[in-house]
Amino acid sequence: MSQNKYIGGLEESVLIAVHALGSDAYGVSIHNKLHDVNRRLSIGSLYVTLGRLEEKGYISSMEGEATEERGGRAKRYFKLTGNGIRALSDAEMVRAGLLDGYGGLVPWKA
Amino acid sequence: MESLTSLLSAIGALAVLVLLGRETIRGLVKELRLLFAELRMKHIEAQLRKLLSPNEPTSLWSIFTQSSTAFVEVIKEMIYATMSIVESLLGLFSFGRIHRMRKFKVVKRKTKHLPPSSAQLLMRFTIKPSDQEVIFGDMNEIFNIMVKQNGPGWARAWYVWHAIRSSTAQLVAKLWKWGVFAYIAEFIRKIASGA
Repeated sequence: MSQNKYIGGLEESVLIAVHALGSDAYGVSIHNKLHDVNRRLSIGSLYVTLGRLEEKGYISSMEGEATEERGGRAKRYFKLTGNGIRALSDAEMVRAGLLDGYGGLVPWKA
Repeated sequence: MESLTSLLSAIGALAVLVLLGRETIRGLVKELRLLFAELRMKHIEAQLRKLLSPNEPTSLWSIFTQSSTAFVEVIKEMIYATMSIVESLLGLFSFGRIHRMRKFKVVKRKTKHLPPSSAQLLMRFTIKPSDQEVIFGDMNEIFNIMVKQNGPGWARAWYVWHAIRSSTAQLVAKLWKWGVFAYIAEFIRKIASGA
């Protein structure tokens, strides 16, 4: 069970990316997905975040196949656990609650 | 007749070298340099043997000249060794182009670009062993994509930059886990409160 239920902004982004990628969620695809939305983090820091999420019990990992372009090294696939889905929906609810009735930074555009 | 034969054979040899190309000539020069280095070593060995042999009639002047020649040769060897180290280091950053010559046959490796070994070494020291295999694999995959899209120079620069960033992130995570930051914060708090 998780020790700390709070998830930070980066952790939330990584959880969303893992959830969106489904069965193809591994280091490079998660990195590219985050890069597309201007979350430019290194592979090392991505694995620090993934390790933290795994420790909290929000994601689980399994070893994948090794390919030639990876220099014969194996992939590690990630998927969301029940706790992860719950944490993500909680974070979504918090955000929805905060945004309820919020007109945005430019009110006439809302 | 003999001179004509030797002239024809020389022209033939020159034509073969031109046909084989610049890399072959470069390789040949390298081989010759190695051969000369070997010969020089043999010369030094002979000189030293002469110097140290008890049967040779020795004078002070001969000892001085022989030892100075040996000394100069040793210095020369040291310069050559430094030059070859610099050469090999430059080869390390030559964007994966490795030219080799084995018995006058050039083996050219053009398509295989490798990530910088210095950056890999840095990551070996900083990234935790359980994550190394996966992180190296991911970095290699992105590196190979970048080589095709942006060229090997850009890909290598990207690799080095990301190796530094990844190592820093992993080190900070380790320090955080060991409670180093909490200890520093406690220390600052103590100083601020005057305890």
